[in-house]
Amino acid sequence: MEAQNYQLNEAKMFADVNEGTAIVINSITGIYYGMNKFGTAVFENLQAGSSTREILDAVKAIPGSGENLEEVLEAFVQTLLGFDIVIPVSGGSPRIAEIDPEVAKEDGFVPECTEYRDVQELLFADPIHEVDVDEGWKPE
Amino acid sequence: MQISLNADSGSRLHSALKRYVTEDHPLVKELYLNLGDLRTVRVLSYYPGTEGILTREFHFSIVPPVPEPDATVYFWRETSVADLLKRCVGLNIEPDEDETNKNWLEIFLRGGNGELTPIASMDLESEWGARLSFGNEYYYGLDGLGPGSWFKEAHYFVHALFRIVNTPESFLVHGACVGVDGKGVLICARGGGGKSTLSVLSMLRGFEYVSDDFLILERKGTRVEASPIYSFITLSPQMYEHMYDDLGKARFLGVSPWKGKYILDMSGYGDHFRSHYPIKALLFPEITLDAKCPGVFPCSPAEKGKAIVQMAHSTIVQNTMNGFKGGQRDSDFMRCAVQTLGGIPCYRIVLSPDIEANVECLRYFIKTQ
Repeated sequence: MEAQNYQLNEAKMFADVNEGTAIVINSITGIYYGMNKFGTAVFENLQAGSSTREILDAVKAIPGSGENLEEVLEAFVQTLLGFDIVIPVSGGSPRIAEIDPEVAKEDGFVPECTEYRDVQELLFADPIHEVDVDEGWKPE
Repeated sequence: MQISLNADSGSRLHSALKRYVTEDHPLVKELYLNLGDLRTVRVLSYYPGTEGILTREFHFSIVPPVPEPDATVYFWRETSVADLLKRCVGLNIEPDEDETNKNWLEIFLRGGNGELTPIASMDLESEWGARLSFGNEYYYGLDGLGPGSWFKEAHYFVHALFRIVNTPESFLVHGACVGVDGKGVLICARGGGGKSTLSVLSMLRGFEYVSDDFLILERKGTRVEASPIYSFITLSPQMYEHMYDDLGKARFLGVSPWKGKYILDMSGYGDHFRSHYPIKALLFPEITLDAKCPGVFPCSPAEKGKAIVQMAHSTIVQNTMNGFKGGQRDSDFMRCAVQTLGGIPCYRIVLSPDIEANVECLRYFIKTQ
């Protein structure tokens, strides 16, 4: 993983962290995003000026972090870029990233960022049964 | 559990539900609310015992009847949500054993292009009742409404109003608003962020007042105006004690079952309430226990973004409790809120433990702007 720095795309994104969870709103589209706690920790370190390499090193130092960590972190950063949440910036001063081991472990070392738009978030794992009022509906 | 209905089935459910509510239950209260300048809402309560509290709750919003209200809200007492569909349209609902949300039913309307519009949420165990919406008609079948539980249930009203007043030019937000000499500040904070204490004490110290909790914002060109919904406030018991001697015109209504806050009817303070009140600044409170004195500071762009996210997200959270959406479009609201609030100057107000000093700091800030 290359040592790349990123910052919030302030031209269109507003962000807040509440109780360890980042919420980001795209001011142009109104679509908003929520991160799990490990994702929030990674995002906050990026915001604070740590490079992706520095964050990777910090997470690797946590016992149980697994071997595919680099790919997982890379995928997360690509997700943030894909959503336009962050933009790349030239590197700043070296900084030691700070990741709470318990937060990383709690989320299985997988940072996540979820897009929320309208009804999609309602679609739970359960199927949606098509129902006709005349026929009713019962499990098959 | 989730089901979808085609347009014909949805229409028949709507007709049957309306007949059931309006023909099987006696009407106990009809009133009309004007929300901002934009929407008139007819409220029809078929729930016995809600006459007085409805009138008090919306003291400043009640208007004479109009022939064509923009929306209608129905309340009735529903003790058996699980049987509601069967009773109305003979529809049996039996969840699969392996479904995760067995006791929570979401109903969608499936459009011709396959698009799903949520129209109902029902707690089949009845605790949270049944909530359905068909176009501009909103139905709330609830049980256990009483003076102590009204405020909790009245959040259903907020759910309905959130969707009714959301237009490209107006929206309902979770925030507080007070001001001096016609210059208002919108206080952005999540629950527990100091909104009620600062705004209510400010009113008692002579400020003009819109709300401590929910309000309507309207965009009129470059101007943004705030209007109240409720004449109720909530205060923690500690703040109630602090303000007790100044609350002579308030009437105690009960204790909120959510956070143990006291609910007060403030309609006696009508000379302080304002509608269409111009917003000149956003205020983002920071509670700092070791601050020796309060202060107000301009926000950086990042801090302003944080304040706006807090207000917008807090509003969404308040309106999606228990997963109920009922046709609202979050992204429309988010876009409108962010773009409207983004044009207003934003400040941090660092609050000290001395709440009287906080009010005087706010007064000085507004007067010198």
